Amino acid sequence: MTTPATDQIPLRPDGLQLDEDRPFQRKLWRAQRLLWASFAFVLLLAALGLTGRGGWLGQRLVQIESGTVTFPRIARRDAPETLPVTFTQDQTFHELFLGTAFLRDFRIETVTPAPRSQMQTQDGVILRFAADGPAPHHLFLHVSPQTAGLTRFYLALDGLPVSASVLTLP
Amino acid sequence: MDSVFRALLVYLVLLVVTRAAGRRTLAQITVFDFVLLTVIAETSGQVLPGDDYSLTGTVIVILTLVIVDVLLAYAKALSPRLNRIIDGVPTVLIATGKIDHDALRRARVNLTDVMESARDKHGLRRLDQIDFAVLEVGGAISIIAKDEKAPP
Repeated sequence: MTTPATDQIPLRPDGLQLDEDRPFQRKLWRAQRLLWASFAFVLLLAALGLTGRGGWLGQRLVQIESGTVTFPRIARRDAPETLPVTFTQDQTFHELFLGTAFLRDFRIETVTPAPRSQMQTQDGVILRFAADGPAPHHLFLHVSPQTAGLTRFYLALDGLPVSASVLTLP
Repeated sequence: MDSVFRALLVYLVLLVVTRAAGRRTLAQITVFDFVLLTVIAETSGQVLPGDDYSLTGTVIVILTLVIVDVLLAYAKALSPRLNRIIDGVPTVLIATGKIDHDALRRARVNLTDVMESARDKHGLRRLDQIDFAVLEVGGAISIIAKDEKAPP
């Protein structure tokens, strides 16, 4: 079956046969500009550190009696993160306990300096570090998050627990 | 399954971003646009396999992208509204010699672009020789020249 060409595409009063639909085009232009605004908003969030990998609000320092740990508030799956740990008490050795949830959700790439020994316990692992001289003593956990979503875990610095949560983006 | 979701998400993001970038940006590619597109392609390509660089994973990602593209093409054919949303509609920039400045501004096209197209495709010398100019869905500017023999 065939139909006249004018039935398929509307003919404008000025003689141009074109299915322009300007009201629809205006909606598209509006949607386009809304998308640009949303892209700019995402970049603003990134600048603030709310999309992971650093930024103004990207990290959180948790301070307890035995030291401090800095966590990312928001991380990205498989993207490397560094968790600086500081022991503030003068001791000849320090113990860092990593809970099972932390071990499950974060792959530990390296620990600097390397622990002198490590011991498996029922609910995690204890890393033991030799220390000399007055505190503070620093170490760095280089990890990469493995699970997208909100991860709650706890660590312990010289026996004192620190609980934290990190939102990992996919 | 992770590869399939990853590919779907990347496809969707690229679709939205290229659509939001507008027709003009992608249709008339300058050297810089080409470099930018290459960087976007490279960046998207890196995320597609995740940490799975196996042949199986790569094949799954490629098949996902192709199948989604075919399904979207069918969906566009079945739904003219979806087709308009994804591909857009043509925009008349000049009608019977009258310039629609609002359309030019919103479509981010200037008269230099229109004249470039007029010279390139029709050998026209002046703007007043253009009867119609239409920004097509593909991003090209179609020009219909005035009939010089017709009375004004």
